[in-house]
Amino acid sequence: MKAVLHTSGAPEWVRALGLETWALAPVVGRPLLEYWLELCDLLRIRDVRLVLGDGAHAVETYAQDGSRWGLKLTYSFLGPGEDPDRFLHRAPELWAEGLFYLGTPLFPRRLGTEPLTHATVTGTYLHMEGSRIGCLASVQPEFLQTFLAGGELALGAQGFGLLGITPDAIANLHDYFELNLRMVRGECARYVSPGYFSKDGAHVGYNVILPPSAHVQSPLVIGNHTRLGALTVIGPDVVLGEHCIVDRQSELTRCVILDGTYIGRNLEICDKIIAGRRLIDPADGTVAGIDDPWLLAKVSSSLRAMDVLRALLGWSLALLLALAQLVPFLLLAGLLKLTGQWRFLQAAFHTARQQKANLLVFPDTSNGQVSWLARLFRALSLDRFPALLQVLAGRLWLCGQEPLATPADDALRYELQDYFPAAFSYATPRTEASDAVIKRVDAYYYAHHRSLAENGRILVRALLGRLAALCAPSAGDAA
Amino acid sequence: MATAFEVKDGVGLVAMSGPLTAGQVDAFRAEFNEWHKGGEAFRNVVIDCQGIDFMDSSGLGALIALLKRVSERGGDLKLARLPKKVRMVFEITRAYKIFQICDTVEEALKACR
Repeated sequence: MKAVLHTSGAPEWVRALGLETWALAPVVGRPLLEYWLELCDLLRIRDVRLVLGDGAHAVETYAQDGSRWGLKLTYSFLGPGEDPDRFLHRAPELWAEGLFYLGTPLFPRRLGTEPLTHATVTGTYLHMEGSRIGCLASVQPEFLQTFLAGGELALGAQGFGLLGITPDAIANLHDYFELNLRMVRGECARYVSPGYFSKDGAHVGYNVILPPSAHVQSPLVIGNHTRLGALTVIGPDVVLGEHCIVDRQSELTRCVILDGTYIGRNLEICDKIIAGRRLIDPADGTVAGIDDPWLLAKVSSSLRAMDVLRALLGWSLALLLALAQLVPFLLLAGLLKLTGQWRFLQAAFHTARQQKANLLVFPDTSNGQVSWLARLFRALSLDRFPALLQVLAGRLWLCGQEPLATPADDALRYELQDYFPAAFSYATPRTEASDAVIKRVDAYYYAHHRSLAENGRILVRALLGRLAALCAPSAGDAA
Repeated sequence: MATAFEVKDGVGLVAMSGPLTAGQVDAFRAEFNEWHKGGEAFRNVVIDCQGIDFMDSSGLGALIALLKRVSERGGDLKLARLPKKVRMVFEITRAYKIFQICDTVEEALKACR
């Protein structure tokens, strides 16, 4: 028997949490996908095919080869707009011996009060979500033959209750919130939570720092590596994810805090979902992006060795470039000022550290009205001098993504999981300002191709490309 | 950040719009203090928050400073028409315990009279 699990799709409630796919939405600290993989193991299914779409990279990075669950995972992609059910019709012979199929975002809620032991699929079990197949398990050749040939679903299928589970739909943030609270109020004992200490309705992960003055009231779940400040009050009905920090004197009740969230000092969180900087009211789905690291923030993972090397190398190069540019910048900037061509504008942008700062921006030189002096200033990348100072101050990287302006690019900033604002980017050699689409494409491309070699390419292209542009006739000359 | 100051029925009324964050609070406080200094005709103040699209801890700090200033002159400061997102910030920072928040400007003005 083989399993096919669709991980693509991000309903509105998933996007509100800042995720690209429902499969990685955490339920009491564990991605939804993990519950399905565990179920596959309990049903003695070893071959699992994950069908990827949105968030493919994140799913693959998380699940890898499946050995963590004793499974053999393989991956396929769903074409844009392709019906998930039609994926099965591509090669029906693969699933003819038995199929476990998940087609829509569901949670496999276990019905018993004890952890589920191994179960065996002996017939056909079907759960429909509206007119679509939500979940299907079958070892009956006649049923599978008809279904895989695109025929009608045969009658006689049973409910999943016979296997000890009921697939629960999550339609909105309210459902998601209630699911988490239901789990924390007792149902999470039915699932495996490796490494958690459980007593009297409190489930606490490993490496959790709880000061003596913190007051913890069950039921609650506290994820691994989470740190509570002094005089905090946590619970009841709290799901606190992994790698969270709750600062001193804050009170948390009836709330779901997703992994890697910082809760500021002396706050009161009640009936809310918090995902990094997103403050969400599950009652009506309102999402407020809190741009204030004193209140809420995304906990940054510690710098990896490569990041340290990148930062050191970038900083040293920025220092060299700034020193080399200092005299020419002062000379040419003086001349530009004298001739009335000093055109730097101040613009606010998002820094690498979830803050905002002002940056001097030299307007684009795509129109033909720009003087030869201004073009020379730009060709020598002297307009990057203020940005180089920001690199030295630690607010920008040397090479990376174009800094996103605030408030104009706020939406893109909240959307980007990996943001590396830099003095030099793919946009630097271009004479015209990037439109929203180009900016988004550049930002995502860099996020997926970030490496020292890519940084080198960006820097060389930026410096040489601008020099080459000086020699090319300008639009004004051509006219 | 745009602000409009007026006196209505003997109550100072401030209408705010735009974000109220670290970048705007100094200018806003200076403007308010200047207006409030010359406002001998009123003691109570209502702030119409409907146009505020975002507020951070600095903005909240500015409102608390205004509350202190108005209270020191024997008046009262009330907030009206808080947008949902701003209200959520008030909830998590416990600021709703300090301020009297009204659903409409009329209700706030009535409470001040």
